[in-house]
Amino acid sequence: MPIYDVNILLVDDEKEFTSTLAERMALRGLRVRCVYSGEEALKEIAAEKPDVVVMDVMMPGLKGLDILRHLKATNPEIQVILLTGQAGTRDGMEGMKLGAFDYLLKPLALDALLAKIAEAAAVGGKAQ
Amino acid sequence: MNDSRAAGGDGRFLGAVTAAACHDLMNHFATFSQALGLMEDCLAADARTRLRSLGFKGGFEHKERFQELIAMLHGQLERAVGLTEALALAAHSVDREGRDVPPPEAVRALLVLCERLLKRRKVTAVLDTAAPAATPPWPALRQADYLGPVLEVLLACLPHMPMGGELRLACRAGAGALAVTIGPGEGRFSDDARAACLGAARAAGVEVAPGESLTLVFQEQPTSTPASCPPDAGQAS
Repeated sequence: MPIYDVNILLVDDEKEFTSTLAERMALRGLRVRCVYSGEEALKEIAAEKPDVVVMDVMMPGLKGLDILRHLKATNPEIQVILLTGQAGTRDGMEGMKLGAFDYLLKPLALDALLAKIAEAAAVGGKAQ
Repeated sequence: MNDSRAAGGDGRFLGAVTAAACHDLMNHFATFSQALGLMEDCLAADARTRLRSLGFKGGFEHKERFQELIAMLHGQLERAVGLTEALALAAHSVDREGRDVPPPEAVRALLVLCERLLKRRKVTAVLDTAAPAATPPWPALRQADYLGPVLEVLLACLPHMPMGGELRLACRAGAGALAVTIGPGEGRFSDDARAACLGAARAAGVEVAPGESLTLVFQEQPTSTPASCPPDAGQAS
C-alpha cells in the first residue's frame, strides 16, 4: 500500500506551522489532518484512527509524551513520530523508550518527515 | 575560578530566559521553513498547471527571481538556526549541568556565537577536531565554568590579532581537567596578544599551563552542583 493511503494526523500547537505543513502534504496527495492540542488529538483519534501521528512534544495542556503513553496503552498499532527542538532530544529519547517510532528535530525538511512516515507506516503494515 | 556571574542567580535567570526564547525562535523558524517550502510548491504547481492546460512557455513571469529569493531565505534561515542552536546550548550552560555536552561541542557553539565579533577583524576561528588516540572521559565541569573564561580570553586577544588572521582552538581531557588551547593559525601569538590573553585568563582566575602555547586548564570540581532549575525549563519542542 503506497504512502498516499496512510492516514496521518499532525498535532502541534503552532498553528501556522502545522497548517502549512499539512497543506504541503496535501499538495502531494497525502491523507492528512491536523489539530492544535493534545486534547483535540484524542478526540480526532477517537473519531477516525490514524496510522501515523506526527506530534510535537511540548504543547500546552496535554503534552506529547502524555498522549504517547495513552496511545501505546490503547492503540499500540498507531505509530507516533515526535517533533522536538534541538534542546529537547532528551524528550525524544524518552519518547522512544515509551514506544515512539522515532523523533525528528525542528525545523525539519519535508522529505525527511515523509520518509519517516513511510517507515513508520511500513512497521504498522500500511505502506510500501 | 571566577564563575560567580555564570553560576549566580542572574546567570541562571538569563540562561532559562534565553533557552525559552530559543525554543520559540526554533518554532518560528520551523514555520518559516515550511512557508518557504509551500511557496516553492506553489511555483512548481503554477508552472505545471500552465504548461499542461494553457501551453504557456514560462508560467509565472517572475518565477526565477522568486526561486532565487526563496533560496536566499533558506540560506539565511540556516544561519539563524545555527546561531539559535548554539545559543540554546550555551544558555543551558548556566542553568543545567553541562556534562552531557562534550566540551568541544560547547566550544564550537561559543565560536558560532562569536562569529560576528570575529568578523569585525576578519578573523576566523577553527576548532581542532582531530581526536587523540585515547580520549579519557571529559571532566565534570559545567559549561559556564570554562566557556566564560574562554570567551574572555578570545575577546582580549581579538584586538591584537592581525586582520584576516586565524585562531585555532583545541580541547583535551586529562587527569580530571579540561585543557583548552588557543593559538594563532600559524607561528605564535604576538607579545601583545599573548599578554592580553594571559591578563584575561588571570582576571578570570584560570590556570594557564606553562609552555609556548596558551593552554587554559580547568580543574574538575566535584563539589560543583548543578543549579536548581525546572527540568524542562527552556527546552525547545
